[in-house]
Amino acid sequence: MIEHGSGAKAGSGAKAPAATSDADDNILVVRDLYVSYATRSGSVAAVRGISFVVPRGKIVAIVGESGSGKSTTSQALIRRLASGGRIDSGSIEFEGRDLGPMSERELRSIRGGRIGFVPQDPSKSLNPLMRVGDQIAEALRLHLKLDKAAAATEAVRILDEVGLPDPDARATQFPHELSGGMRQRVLIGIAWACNPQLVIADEPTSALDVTVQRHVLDNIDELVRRHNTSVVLVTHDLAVAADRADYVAVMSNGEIVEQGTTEQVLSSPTHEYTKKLVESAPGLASRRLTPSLTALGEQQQSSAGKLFTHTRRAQPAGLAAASGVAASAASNGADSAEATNILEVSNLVKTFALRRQGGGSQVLRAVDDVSFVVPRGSTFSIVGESGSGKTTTARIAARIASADSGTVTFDGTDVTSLSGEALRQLRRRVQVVYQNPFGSLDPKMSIEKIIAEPLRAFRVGDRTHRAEVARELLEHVSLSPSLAQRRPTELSGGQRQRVAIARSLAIGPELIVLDEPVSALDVSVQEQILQLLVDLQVQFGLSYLFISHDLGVIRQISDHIAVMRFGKVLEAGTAGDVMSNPQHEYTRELLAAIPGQRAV
Amino acid sequence: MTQVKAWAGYLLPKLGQFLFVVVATYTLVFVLVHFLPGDPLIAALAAKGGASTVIDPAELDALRVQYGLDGTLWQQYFGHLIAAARGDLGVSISTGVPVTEMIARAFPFSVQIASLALLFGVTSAVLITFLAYAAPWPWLRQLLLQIPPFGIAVPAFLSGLLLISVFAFTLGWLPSAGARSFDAAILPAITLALPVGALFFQVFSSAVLEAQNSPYVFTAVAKGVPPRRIFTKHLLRNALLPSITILGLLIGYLAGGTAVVETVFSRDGIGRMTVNAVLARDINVIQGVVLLVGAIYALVNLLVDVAYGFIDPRTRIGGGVPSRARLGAKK
Repeated sequence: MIEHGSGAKAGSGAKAPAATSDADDNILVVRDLYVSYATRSGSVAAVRGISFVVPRGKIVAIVGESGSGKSTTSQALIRRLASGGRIDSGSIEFEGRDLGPMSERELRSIRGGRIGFVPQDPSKSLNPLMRVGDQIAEALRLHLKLDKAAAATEAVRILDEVGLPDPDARATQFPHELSGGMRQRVLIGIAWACNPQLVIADEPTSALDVTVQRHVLDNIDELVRRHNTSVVLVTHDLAVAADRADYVAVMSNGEIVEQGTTEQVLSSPTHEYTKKLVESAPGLASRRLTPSLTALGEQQQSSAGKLFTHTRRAQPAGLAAASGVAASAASNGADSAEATNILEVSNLVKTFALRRQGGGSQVLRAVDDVSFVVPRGSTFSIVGESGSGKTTTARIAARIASADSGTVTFDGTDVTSLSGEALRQLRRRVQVVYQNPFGSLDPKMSIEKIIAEPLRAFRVGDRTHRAEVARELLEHVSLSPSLAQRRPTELSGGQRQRVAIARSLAIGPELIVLDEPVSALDVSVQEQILQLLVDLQVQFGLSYLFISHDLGVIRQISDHIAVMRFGKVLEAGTAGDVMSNPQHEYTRELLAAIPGQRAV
Repeated sequence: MTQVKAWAGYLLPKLGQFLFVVVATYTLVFVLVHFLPGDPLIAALAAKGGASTVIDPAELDALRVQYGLDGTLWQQYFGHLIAAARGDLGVSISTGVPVTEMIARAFPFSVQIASLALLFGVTSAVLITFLAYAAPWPWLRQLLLQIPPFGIAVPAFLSGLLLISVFAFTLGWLPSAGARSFDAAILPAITLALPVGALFFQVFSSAVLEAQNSPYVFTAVAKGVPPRRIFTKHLLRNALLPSITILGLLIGYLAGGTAVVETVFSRDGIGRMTVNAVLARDINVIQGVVLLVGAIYALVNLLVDVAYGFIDPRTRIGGGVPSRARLGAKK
């Protein structure tokens, strides 16, 4: 690989062995590539002078977080940028020919024919109105000039090769009839259909469940071996790169800040950013996070005089009998007057009626006889893949949804059938933080209003008091109070999620249900948010019900873990037991699927 | 068998809606006509014979029976409804001809220009959209996208007269009026196609340009598919989905919206018949026409719903998947 960015002359990088060998061994050579987007406020540089090579038959991973320019790079490699994008300078040499000055017609014969592309989002990247077999056959007919029948037969063979069961029936189906993993396999099939020399895979598995991700990546590995394809693997997940790539290039702010063989980059990262990335990648080296020192310090002083204690005292006597002392009790570490388990759910069942094709209905047991307890002041996590029923369980536990049967006991009181005002009062003690910080904040409201809204809803304090609380909360979630008058659109994803957490804290809850709170965030931001959650837990004596699909994240925050699949809890226990001594086959499969195990 | 049941389960409620719309339309017109101040028959006779017409009460009663306007309101309401269901819409007060017969005579002329207008309008909308899609320069694309709104902005009596003066009087290529020959339908159809095509274009072009940035189009580009094929194979059908709804509305609009064009080109047709009926206060004809337009409207919407199922496999009922595939899915 060509070392660039740290002052080394192009082509003389000592780190990457491939760079010293003959240029003919490199299928792709990118030199000093600059890409920018035209926006209303002028041109914005997205990629700023990157250089790298892809050796024949090797996998090169481009790793970076959102906004690093990695996706732009992948699109530039087939010269198809989003509208407004242009390649300003530099060269992209594919098999010795620069793609830059090529005509669209020439490019078309290369795209799909000699360079395959696996796009990011399998749910949107297939034409919804075209049978999947036809979508593969289209590429075959264009580049290999197969006739209709031959292309159809070959498409079925390809579907078989990418691991779709019953391929000739699948070929006649439409994308919506396939699962996410299957759709991604179809897209991989399209990319490999014409046996290209190079495949660019842009986040090929980021939308998939972890066990599916593993199978899909295995499938890519196999295709690479069998066809001796070179791959540019664009990913935000360092652990995936560690497992699969021969070389890694780390991008940040449109530049490659570090590159070399995977071992070099991961075992001895030299650039500051890479170090940070390696440290925070949950798959690579995760452990239970401990509260930071400042949090422990604040815990002591938060016992009296703070605005939150006002909030808590202002609760009506009825429901909040126990919670009035929650703050002080938790901070003293005493649990005298309260139930030891803040939340107990037993035998929850929730069914949904699904309308089947051809009429009739089928009953789906989304939650099937689920029981667990959340000890006060601890984090109970539910881990599972999509469709496991984990979110439905959490919604029932928070009394947002109701169960068909079973009971939810909060702080010793049965809250299963609360309704109306009593249910509303329960919201003071149980709050929820959602996955998507872009959708869960009203874009028209100021940050201060968003955070203070729960207070307004419960008529706590006057306007100035609420503004003060909002500012104080901003400090607690490590945001500058100067953001108070901004709108959510001006904030980054991580900042927004901090605002959502601050809002959930405003009314002084005891239990917070966190539904995939970090899944939409970059890894380095994930770690910060998780650390914040751990700190706040000690500061305010909170209990968490934490939902995630990511065992790496779960490991960082949980005291107890329950593994769910198809609506049932397969296994539950302390975090240590479940992670180190899994009893159920599926848990072992989940653990084995965590990427990043090859590297460490 | 299950498939038949599925289709029945899908269509029966829609058919119910269809009947409801037709009956509701009838009821609304009935209420409007009968609760307007003044006796409808006297108003119609006055319009026919001048304000000073004197009618003998006995003769008036006979006329009431003749035009089906005798009896209580309930008798009239249900009597007319049952008669309409049998295809009898009463007799025109101003001409004495059965309304069904009048409609049957005028309807083909309107259908002719309406379907031609739809054809012209939709074809040119798709064509301009394709040109805008394939335009190599942004300014050309912008220019093309700005043209169709003119079709809405220019009123039909103006565009119609312009077309007549150029193509009929100056060039002499096409007749300016009448409905006897096929080429007489071309100018009115173009006049009508302008707003229809423009409205369709607004929805269709924005759907295409939006779909153009969608990931599946990126996939197609990355496959090496040339632009024209991307348009026909990938964009067209996807963009048709939102456009079909507006197409249904436009057909409904055409069913009753031919009045101005038929007047300008002095053609026979439903629109002109309606105008005349309104001027003559001929309530039987008005009721018949409104009922017809309402039925067409409801029928088109029914067809649109069914068409969705054919275009979009996600909304398809039963049997969209070969049985083998369904067996595979169960595994």
